[in-house]
Amino acid sequence: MIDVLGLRYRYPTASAAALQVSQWSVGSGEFVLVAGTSGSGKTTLLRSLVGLVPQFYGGWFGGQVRIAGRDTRCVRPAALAELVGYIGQEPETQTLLDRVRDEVAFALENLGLPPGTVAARVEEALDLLGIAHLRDRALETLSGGERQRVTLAAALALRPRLLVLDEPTSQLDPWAADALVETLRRLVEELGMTVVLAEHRVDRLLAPATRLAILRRGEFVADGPPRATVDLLAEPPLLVQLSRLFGWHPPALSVAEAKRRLGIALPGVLERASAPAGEPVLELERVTCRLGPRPVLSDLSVAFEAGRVTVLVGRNGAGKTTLLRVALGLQRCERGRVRWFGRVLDRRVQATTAHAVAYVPQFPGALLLGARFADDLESVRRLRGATARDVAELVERFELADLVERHPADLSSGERQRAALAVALVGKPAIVVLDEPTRGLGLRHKEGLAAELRRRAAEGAAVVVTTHDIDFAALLADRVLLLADGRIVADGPPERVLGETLAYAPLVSRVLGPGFLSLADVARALAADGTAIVTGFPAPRPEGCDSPGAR
Amino acid sequence: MNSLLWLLWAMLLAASVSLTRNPFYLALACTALAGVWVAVDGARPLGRPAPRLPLLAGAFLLPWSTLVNALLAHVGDRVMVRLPPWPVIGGPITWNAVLYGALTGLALTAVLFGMSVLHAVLDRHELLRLVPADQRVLAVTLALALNALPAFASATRDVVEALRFRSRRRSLLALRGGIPAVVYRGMEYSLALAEVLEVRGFGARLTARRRWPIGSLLLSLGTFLVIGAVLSGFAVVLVLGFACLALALALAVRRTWPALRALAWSRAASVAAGTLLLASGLFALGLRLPESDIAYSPYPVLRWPGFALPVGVAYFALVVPAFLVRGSAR
Repeated sequence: MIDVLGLRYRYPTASAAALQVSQWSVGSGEFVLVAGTSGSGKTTLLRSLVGLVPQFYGGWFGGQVRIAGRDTRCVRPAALAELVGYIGQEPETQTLLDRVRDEVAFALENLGLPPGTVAARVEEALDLLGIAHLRDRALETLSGGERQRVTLAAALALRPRLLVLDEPTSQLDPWAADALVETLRRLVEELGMTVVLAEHRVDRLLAPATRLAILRRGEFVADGPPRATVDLLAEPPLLVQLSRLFGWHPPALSVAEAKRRLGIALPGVLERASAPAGEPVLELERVTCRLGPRPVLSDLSVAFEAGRVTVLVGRNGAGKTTLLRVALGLQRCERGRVRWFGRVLDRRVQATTAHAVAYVPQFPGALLLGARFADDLESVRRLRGATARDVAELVERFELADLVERHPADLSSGERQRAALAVALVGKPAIVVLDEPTRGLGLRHKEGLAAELRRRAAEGAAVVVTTHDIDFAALLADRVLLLADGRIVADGPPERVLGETLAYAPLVSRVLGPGFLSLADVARALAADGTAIVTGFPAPRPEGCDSPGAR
Repeated sequence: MNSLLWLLWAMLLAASVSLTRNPFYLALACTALAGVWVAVDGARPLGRPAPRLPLLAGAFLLPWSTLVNALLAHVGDRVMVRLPPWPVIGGPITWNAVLYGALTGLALTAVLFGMSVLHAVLDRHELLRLVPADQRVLAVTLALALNALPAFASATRDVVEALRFRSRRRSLLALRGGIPAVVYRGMEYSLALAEVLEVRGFGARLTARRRWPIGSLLLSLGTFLVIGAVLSGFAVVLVLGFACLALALALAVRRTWPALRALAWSRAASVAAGTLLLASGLFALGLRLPESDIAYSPYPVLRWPGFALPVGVAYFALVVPAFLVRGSAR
């Protein structure tokens, strides 16, 4: 299906090659997971498979890429659309029409399919992704995750032979992400479709993938079955790290496999130090908010306290982003009140205290306004009265020292996300509000961010984060709010709200039970005396014994 | 109301408002427009509110147009004050110029308002389908143009929001720093959009079967001939030019016909179409009625403007979409 030969590509304004692949092939019916750190060339590789590189982006292109025998240098990407479905990185920029059904039908109409076929394929794609209820919705009213599923439906509707996906689960809630992976697995196994997918969060993809290709600085450093190559990832996924903790080799590739290897786990309840709640600094009182005729927040009250990290989770479209926007005074609510530092939020309060609020929106590029990343850091440093040393340390912690002189446009998606986070966190903001901050971040950077946010909370800041990355939430949350249909349906410590649910349980909890949220918990338990976790393969049950779990 | 009707409405609005400086008609058009704006903003047929930006622009345009016209047009019988003989602005400042400037500002604001309503209601899918399949460049341009305003509006919103937490100043000066970022983000969005068009197979059929662009050729030839005929005065060339243009139009209509038929023609759409056609007719009639005073001018003598009921009805008929617009965002 894919043959890459002697590929070497450099973007028009770059001095170094973004991609160098001497030979790479993918057969029909393969599920290839492309992994690598931020800026390693994953997106460029995917673009070259669709012909966007070089046809759309220009630059210097050597070698050839053949898709089902067609040379991408000789055919326009539009002419490959019937063959290749492609979803880019940012769902915000991937839609162009007004209604969901039109968006999904657009590519089919472009290919000149009869109206009956178009209608049937639209329904099929909507059903595959579980979004039939969104059919007549205006795209304007969808959340980021819902939008991502619509773009996926638009690609799937074409029934392409090759599906190329760039971080397709980055904005999906855990349940939707699992459902998407399952759909892809079925497409590969039952219809023989070829899938090439780049992701940072690879845990849920290791089991269905037939190959794991690892990119580093534009070159493949490993390519083979995930079991053989996963150990070579620069940032090993949680399952691999968990396997290492237990000394499993080769590593477990799925939660089910990890549980099988663990045998019967009798997890003890870990003592977890919870940060004491400080004064509420950000409060919403009986807030009701609508987007058009649709209620997004319904009579919602919540207070965020100083010194604590509160994480908002919930399915796509639950109202998480709206809650943040209302709390920050960026969106008007129909009813209710918002307070900052005990004062009702109005223009005057906002004008005098906004500099104490750090906010990173879902699309972080808006925070990078300067010609150089350094200019943005400097502007916020002056605003918040931070020292140059503070900024330098922050830049160091986010591993951005090499990028400060670069234009934001020259940064990769993950680098841009880290840069925006660094700009927002300069100084000592009393309120830190982050909307999906882990998009495009690798595991190491996520751990670094979690540590930074915990440090901020320890210094007295109120940290509020929305995320679909439950493992990240488990790393930093003191308190978790579960939102559904604009209401808070669960509010409590992470071990209760995350650990005890099926959909929102972190990977470690899924393996070891709700007492364990992160690898640190496991390591702590093992280091203590090992009695917190009893592992081993279950002994064979005696004849006639039906009671499970007896050992 | 389908996209074609909204386009007709916008064309009628732009033509009728820009052709008149009669305060009665302008007031009627603005009232109708305000009704439509409020209805669209409430119903949000495509989930989009009517943009607020024209309100701001109007607040700037009206005084600016009045001031500039008053300072530059020293014509009229009602002198308000005489400025010393300064270059350009020196001389009599007249009430006539003030009135004309204000009316021009009002007309510009009304057109801007109309375009903002159009942004909230134009279904991009319907519009793109109206472009003949072989006019790929036109369709890509249209797609980019249709998305340019939302792209820049969303980029502006993001940057303004970011600046709220980045600056103590809440002034236009604070926004100045964000302009390059807005432009850059808007461009980035446009690029992403073009990429999406490409990977969704836009124009793929054209690649498969390339045809002679007869319509474009006829359009170019016709325009060339008409201009040539006007300059040279050859009637035969003029006729030939118009024939080419008519043929190009006929071809375009023929190619667009399936898309036109596919548009939703509900009873409301028929009512709107009928009303807009009637309004167009009344307006055309008004152009020939001397008492309608569509081309009212306060120069050189300030006088009371005329008014003709059929023309007034035509202007007020622009309110019709307010009664027909339905919210579909659920």
